[in-house]
Amino acid sequence: MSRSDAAVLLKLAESIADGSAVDWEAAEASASHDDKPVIRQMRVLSGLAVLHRSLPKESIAGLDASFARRDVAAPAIGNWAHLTLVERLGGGAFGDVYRAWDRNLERHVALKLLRADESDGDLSASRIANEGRLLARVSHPNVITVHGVAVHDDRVGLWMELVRGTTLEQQLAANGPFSAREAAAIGIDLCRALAAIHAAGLIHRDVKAQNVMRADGGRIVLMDLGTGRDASRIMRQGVPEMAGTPLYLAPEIFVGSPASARTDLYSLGVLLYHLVSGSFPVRAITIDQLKKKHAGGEFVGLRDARADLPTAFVRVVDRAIAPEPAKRYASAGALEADLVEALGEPIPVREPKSRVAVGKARRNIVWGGTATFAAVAIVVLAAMGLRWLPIFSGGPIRSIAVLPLANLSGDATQEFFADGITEQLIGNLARINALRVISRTSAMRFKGTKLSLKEIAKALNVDAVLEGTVQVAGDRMRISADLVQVSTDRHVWLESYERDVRDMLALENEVAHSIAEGIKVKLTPQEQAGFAVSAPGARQVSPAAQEAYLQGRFFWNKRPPDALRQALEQFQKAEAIEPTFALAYAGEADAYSLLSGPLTADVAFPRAKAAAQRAVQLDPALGEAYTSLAFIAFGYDRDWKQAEQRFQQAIRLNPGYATAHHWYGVFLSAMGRFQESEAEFLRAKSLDPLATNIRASFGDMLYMARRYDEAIAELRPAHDLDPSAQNPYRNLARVYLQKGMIREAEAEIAQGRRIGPYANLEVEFARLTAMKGQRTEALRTLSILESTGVSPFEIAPVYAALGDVDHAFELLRRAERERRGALLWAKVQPDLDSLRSDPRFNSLLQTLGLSQ
Amino acid sequence: MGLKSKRSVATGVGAAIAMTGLKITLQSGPGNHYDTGPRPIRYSGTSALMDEQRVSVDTTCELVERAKSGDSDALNRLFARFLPSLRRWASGRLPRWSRDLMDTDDLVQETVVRAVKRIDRFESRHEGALQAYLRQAIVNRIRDEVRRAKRSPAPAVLDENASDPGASPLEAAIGEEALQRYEDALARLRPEEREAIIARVEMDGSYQDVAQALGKPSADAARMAVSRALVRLAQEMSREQV
Repeated sequence: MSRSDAAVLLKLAESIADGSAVDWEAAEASASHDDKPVIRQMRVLSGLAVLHRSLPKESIAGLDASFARRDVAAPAIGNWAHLTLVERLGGGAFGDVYRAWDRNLERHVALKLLRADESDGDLSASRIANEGRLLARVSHPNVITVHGVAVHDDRVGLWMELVRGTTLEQQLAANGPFSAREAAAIGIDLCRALAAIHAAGLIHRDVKAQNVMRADGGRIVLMDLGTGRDASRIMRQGVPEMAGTPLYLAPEIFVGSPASARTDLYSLGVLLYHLVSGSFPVRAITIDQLKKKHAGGEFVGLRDARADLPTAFVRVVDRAIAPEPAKRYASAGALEADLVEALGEPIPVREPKSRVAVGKARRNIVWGGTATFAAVAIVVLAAMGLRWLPIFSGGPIRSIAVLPLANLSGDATQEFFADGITEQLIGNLARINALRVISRTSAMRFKGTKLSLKEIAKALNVDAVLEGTVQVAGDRMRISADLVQVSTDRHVWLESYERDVRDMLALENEVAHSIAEGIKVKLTPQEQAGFAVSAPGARQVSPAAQEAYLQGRFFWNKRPPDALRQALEQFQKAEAIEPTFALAYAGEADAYSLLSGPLTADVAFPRAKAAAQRAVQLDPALGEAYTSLAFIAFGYDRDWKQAEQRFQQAIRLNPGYATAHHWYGVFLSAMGRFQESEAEFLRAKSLDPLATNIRASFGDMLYMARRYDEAIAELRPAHDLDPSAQNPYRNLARVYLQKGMIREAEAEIAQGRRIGPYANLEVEFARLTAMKGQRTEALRTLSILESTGVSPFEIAPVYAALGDVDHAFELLRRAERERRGALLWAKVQPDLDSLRSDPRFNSLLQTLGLSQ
Repeated sequence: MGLKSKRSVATGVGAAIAMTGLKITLQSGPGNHYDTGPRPIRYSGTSALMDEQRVSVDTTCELVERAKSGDSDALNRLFARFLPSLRRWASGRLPRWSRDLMDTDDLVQETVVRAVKRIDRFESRHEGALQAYLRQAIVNRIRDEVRRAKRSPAPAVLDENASDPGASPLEAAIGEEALQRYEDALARLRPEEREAIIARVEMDGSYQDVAQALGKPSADAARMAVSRALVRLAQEMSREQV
């Protein structure tokens, strides 16, 4: 055979150009050595040509409309200052509200613009400006954020955060009354909002269902301070204005008393009453009638309005709307505490006197930033009925959060040096099996926080918190650390060290060891040995490499492919600086493993494996590296035995590594060993309480275990932890559909779509339409999805639901050929149940080594 | 755009769009209803009449020249000719669900407008060259957009192992690296080779269309040109890999 056969190549090229089928394997097998690589590339070209031919010929109008994102392209309706008006959202009492595009900051905002004909009068203009000034004083996640106020073209505009969502009144109208649990959860958020407003010296004066938005991510936002008044001014002037919606107003307002924090809380009580009953405690058609009823003390107690509510909740609402102000709650904090209790959860701190103290402390918090968000999220989690904190006692310390050590060097570039020491300290302590050490990702959220240690400990569910400082001057460094037992406020251990910078590693070991001794935790002989300074694998890493590694993990924890690519870059940078830095290779492996979708499994996993093996070679005691290897054995090699051995080895080496437990839990759930899986997930969660990935995986495991209600409880708070993430919507919709809760599933899909188009969400849409009997619609969506490269494994169950079992199997086989990761759940996934009795399913499982 | 441009004098591309309402018309669906000139341009591969092709080719060059000098009618006709295939093509290149079709339309249209604005840098040899030029402009634009779109949807299934919802259908089909290799190799081909591949493989034109776009005498000649170019491309790609 000639070295290259031009005629053969041309013939193949013609087939590609014509779009006729080619047996590529045979073509490559019979080709000369030189032509083989060319033929391999022709095969790629053939795939490319097929894809282009398969693109929909004309715009798919139906799907297009179903995405309901028409607003993005809505034509501009004018400009005001630096804002482009996109769409009128509605009209308020004093002007119109638009969705607008901020050209400077490139974001959407809500713009309240005074009508041109009204802005002549100073009064109206100053009203909007006033609203802005008032709101700008408050910064709280549950209160709408004001960006600015300005006068332009003789029009006054106030622009603020654009909240996409629906008002509680709209939700009430659409879905009927809320459950007591849901209302209480909303009430807790609103208490926090009001606490912030009151702390700023303001009164809202118009708390009502129309003024509270539930954002698409689930966040509760109190809006419209249009009638808000400066409390001090009201005190001075004593002007009893009848602003606000009458049915929500406290009785004393009608007899001339000024609005106050208590009247806001009364309105909140009415709001809660309204949410659960759809009605109002004092019902009237005219203001006069309303006044008379208030005067006559006529009102309908919540129990009479709706009989099935929990007594605890009824009691809280009735107290909030007591006619006599003195009988009501004195502060938002007090109402909040009772709402939390009414939810029926164990309450974190229950010393009787502490409630007031907690209320006070809360007002001192500087709101804003991730720490606040985390704290709020945790309250919501508590509200969702999850496992919660035990009552603190002065018992032994078995769990620690190491807060990021503060950099006192006065040099921002030393920041990562301090973070690196924090990381090492966490790593050293995490190796102690008897001690639970909060992972860096959760602990880092509290960097620079103004929360008290008690609040942080509460959020992370730990017995003690370690805080400290790092100072570097020349080649000397000083580390001070202070371990506080939270329940007793006792300083368990307080030390200061000064050393040569080059002794950093030894020092970190010493600090960890001395903490372990300080809290009298039992160390195994191996752990004792690990604290020996000359432990094998212990190696000084340059701060620059450490920094790159930490940056890499930061991106890696975010998970979207873009972030993973950034992570990869950082890990490789760390390797370049420090070629023997084992952790960096483990990081690289993990980044590649998670990039197996975009890069394809055959490209990504071999690279992941090479990196992981290098990491083990460099440091045979590195739990992280064995975790990487285990995940590759699971996700790519499908060698269950090896995967399990390596996970266990990883956990033995580093019991405090959250990812090891997380991934082991994922593996066990795919194997159908749910009980063991749950134990791993609970461990992972306790090590990294704020990690959204762990929570999402755990929710999925519960779904696989057919524990749907628990899955819902686990997945729902994900909206609050990361409102921009779309998979929580998809995963929740999937569970709802499995439960036959069509309406709830529909709502999740609709909300998820608002964030943007997302293939897997459309898979659920197809399933939904299939379940509703809209076969044609379902098939249409599926055929579009099929052409877009969504994993065949995802759509196979929907075809099965539509009765096209053959096609379902064809798709499953394709997924197998393409080594799609999700296929690993074939053994347990509930929506495949209808296929299980088919012999073809068994043979698929056998191919995967997952026989029933 | 917006209120101000409507008031401005009707010259240049921006004015053309504002005046014809093209943007809105295009969104309403496919079809050719903005091609309102006295002599409709045929762009179907079914006709084999040589003289008709000739007319078409001439018209394209002419249209480019006229569009360069600010003729809005000429620009609209160019749109009518190229947008449908470019839009369809772009739907394969955009991150899968990062945009719905409407956004794709906007992006393609906007990019074409900008590209035509800079068209004085383009030497109109034949239609295929223009198609390749516009296609490259969109490739660049998509690259920018993807870079800008920091927030892509999170992985889909069980946290790990999910397919990438941020990938385009094409990336999903052949993989990110293969696509990059393809683009790099394509850029190293001779312009006619590149144009042949774009017209046939990417834009899915009939051989008749390709002949017309490349100025080839017959459909068969076009088929040969495409096939030879494919061989060259595969060789380039395999070279790259070594």
